[in-house]
Amino acid sequence: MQFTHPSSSHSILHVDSLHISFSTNEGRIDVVEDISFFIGSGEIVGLVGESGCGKSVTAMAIMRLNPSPPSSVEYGRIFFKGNDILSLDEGSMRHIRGNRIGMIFQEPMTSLNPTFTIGYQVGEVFRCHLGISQNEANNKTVEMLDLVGIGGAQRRMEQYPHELSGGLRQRVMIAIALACRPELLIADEPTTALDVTVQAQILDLLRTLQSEMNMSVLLISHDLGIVAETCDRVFVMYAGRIVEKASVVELFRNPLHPYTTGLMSSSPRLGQSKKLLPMIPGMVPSPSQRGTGCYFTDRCSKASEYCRHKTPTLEAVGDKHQVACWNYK
Amino acid sequence: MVYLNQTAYSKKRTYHFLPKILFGYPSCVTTALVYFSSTQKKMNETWKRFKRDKVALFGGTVIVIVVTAALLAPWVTPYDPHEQFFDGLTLEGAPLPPNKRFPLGTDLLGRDLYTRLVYGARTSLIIGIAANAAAVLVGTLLGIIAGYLGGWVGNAIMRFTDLMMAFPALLLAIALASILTPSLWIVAMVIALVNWVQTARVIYTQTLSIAEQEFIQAARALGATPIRILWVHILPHLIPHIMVWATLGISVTVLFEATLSFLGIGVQPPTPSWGGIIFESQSYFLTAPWLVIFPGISILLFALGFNLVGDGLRDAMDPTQRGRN
Amino acid sequence: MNPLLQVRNLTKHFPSRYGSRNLTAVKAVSLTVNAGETVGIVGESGCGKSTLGKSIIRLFEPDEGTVLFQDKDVLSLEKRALREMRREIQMIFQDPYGSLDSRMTIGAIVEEPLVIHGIGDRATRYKKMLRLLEITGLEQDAANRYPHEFSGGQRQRICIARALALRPKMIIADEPVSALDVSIQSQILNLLVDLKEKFDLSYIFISHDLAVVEHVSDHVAVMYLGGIVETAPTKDLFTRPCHPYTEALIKAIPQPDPLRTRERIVLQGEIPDPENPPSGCAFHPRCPKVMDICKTATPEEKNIGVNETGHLIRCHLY
Repeated sequence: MQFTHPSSSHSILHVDSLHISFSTNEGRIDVVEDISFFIGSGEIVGLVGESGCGKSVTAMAIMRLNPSPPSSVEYGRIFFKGNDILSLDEGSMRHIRGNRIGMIFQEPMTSLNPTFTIGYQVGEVFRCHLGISQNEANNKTVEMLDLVGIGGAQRRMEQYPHELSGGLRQRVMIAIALACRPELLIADEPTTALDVTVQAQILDLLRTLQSEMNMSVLLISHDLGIVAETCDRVFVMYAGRIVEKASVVELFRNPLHPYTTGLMSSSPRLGQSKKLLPMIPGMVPSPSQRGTGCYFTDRCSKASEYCRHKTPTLEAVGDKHQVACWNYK
Repeated sequence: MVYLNQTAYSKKRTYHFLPKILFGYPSCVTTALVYFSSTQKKMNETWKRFKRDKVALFGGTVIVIVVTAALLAPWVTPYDPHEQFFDGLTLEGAPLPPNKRFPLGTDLLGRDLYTRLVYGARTSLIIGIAANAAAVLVGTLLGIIAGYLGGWVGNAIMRFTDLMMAFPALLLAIALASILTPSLWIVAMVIALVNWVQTARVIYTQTLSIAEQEFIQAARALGATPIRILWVHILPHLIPHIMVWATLGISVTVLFEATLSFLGIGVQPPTPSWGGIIFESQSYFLTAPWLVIFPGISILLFALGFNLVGDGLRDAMDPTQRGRN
Repeated sequence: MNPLLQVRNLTKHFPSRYGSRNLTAVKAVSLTVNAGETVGIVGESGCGKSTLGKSIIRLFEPDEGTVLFQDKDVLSLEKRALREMRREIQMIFQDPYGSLDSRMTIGAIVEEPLVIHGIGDRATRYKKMLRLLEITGLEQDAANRYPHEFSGGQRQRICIARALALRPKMIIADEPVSALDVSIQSQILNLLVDLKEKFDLSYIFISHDLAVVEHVSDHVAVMYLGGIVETAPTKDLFTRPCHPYTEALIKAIPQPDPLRTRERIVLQGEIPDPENPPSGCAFHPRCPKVMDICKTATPEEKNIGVNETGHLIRCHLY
């Protein structure tokens, strides 16, 4: 391991050269290519990238929720607390899902079942994983709803998802994900569908709960601001590969990959009055048209012919930073 | 929340164009011209894609064969459809199974089944196509008007449609047929009157959902007239649904005609029709199965042909399907 | 010189779903846009900012108020005159997937405004269309392709090309970049800024993203629950936000700077149900600086700026 976070004694999750492909009409398409990373215990790790970069597929692969077919793990392994998740049978996997690894999704509207009450849906987790009675589950549900800051939990339990606002629904999702006190929480764009003021509330809540429960979090986001405020370490993904890994302070102080710097400078920031934004030309290549070598070549201002043919690997720069670029110096 | 009500608004505003369509509105003519000239190009494209769809081509072939046979019936059949052959029955008076002289066997009166099936295709074609086309046309028109205009006109149309749906179609058909003397065209009309309802409902909901989409608002923001929006932006999205009902409906109509024939209010004997043949001979199914099987297969192939062609056309007309296959 | 667009006390109700009560989506909003200016409207979802934009060009029929565009009263225009007016004010929508007709080629889509308004013959329209594609950074061969073949950013370019076809004086952009990826957002924003100069446009720029609004706007209006709570020149608003809601909004934006000490005002609760708005100042249930008067009296608009156009605010604190 290249570097460790101060608070991580050992890793909770270790993804080792994971390679995921989808079979389509046009043949096999590599979506996630050979990515490796680990998450230490009690650590919040950010996974940043634009749509189609493979960040959600990676998250779903950890939960083993990618539909197969069409998706398949070509090679690589995922260790959760030392056990290879990919070799587990479906029964043991169900025991891990929702119990030891929790997940929250982007869309709080559709991730709750509209036909069941909030109380039933939160309680279901307890009944599934702890095998306790309805009554006990109810008590625990009230406790959980209090914990995620839903006032009047008794009344809320009787309500249906459509009666709650977006922010409250996301709180319910968090309650469900954290019900069994998982060791790892995967949050896939948890605040993208929410308003700024509500987003602030949810991020605060996530941070508080994370330190209270000392769980690890994999936070997937396209918003560098959220990542900067929330995470300890960050991975930047582009077109299915991790192009840069660094501690959050290091990444924002000294971004090395041209894609990372491009992302940072191209999003408008408060108090920064430039007339034209610096931009990354072109667009993210679709998985079937990524080309060869470094996939960022076509949009990179520093690229040379060499970049087009040779794939850069992650190289350590200092002890808290790795970058996959031929020109980082 | 807020935006839920935008249709209510558009309904209110776009009310008045109906008279203009009916009484000829100059820009309507120009839009129509533009529409058809631009569709020429699209039709070529559609045909190109359709040709690549093997399944649909099979369906098309079946239809062509049936239509040709029906048109050329006197030349492709050995006998007269009404001729009762003395040797067409056994000595006990039972119909003959397929043999050399009668390739598909004979019916209860000793008539050649093959000949009657080919002539029956004429009836089925007329009923299936004419009745169904009329039903789909009426249904589409009422569905679009109700969906796009909304307001009390739309409500009235849809309540009437609901009423028709709730009313037993067969009962209505019986009532109509007993008032009017049954003939081929009357039967077609009766079927059309009963069958437009489903199309109207589907087209109504589709129109509603298309009218709510943002590109319709975008077109209004550009200054497009209601007629243009209907013609250029809504209708092309409805065509696949119209297509499906136009083809699915054919099989439904053929069967409906069979039911009417059975009840004695359909096409009157001795005029052959596929449904009629089945129902005449259904009680002999065990002893003379060919009398039910062959017309059954005819109906099946005929309906299937239209369904396959309909599916193929729908796909071929959808630009998002381009480049597939 | 008179402003290009003047909106006075614009109000839009929608009938509530359950009928009993009207929902006021836009409440007595006044707004001024000068020629060549960009006015940003920010607010969270459901604050009525999109309804406001659509009411100005009468995609929704406003219930009260006046809209003066080049001194013409837009709300009293007859149908034909309204269509003419729509040549001058165009709109770009948030969803570049839904706002293009999937069964039309890009060429037909971009030409459509010219066809509708009967401009030029077929050949000149075609030429114009190609030119528009070029201006908005699209390839010429896009003309014969269909919307689904394009990415979100390209589709938004198509929408922009369509909006430009009639050479409007003003474009209302309703969340034009919210559906796009970060690296694509900047491309579209730059294109909009660029076109503004080239074609002498004015924008009403509607967005929930304060950073984006700050970047493009000369003036910003902050909306909350159907009403504008604060209007000011952009720089003024962001350096000296006066309304507690504006302040909270600005503080709530996550900053890409891990070392920044967080001084976030986390607002409690969420936007109230617009069918059942709070009494007095609509913001009072969430306001950290709430006073007794806020619960009963609706605050009047006050100018706390240094000059005429200054800094307008609706808050009892001032």
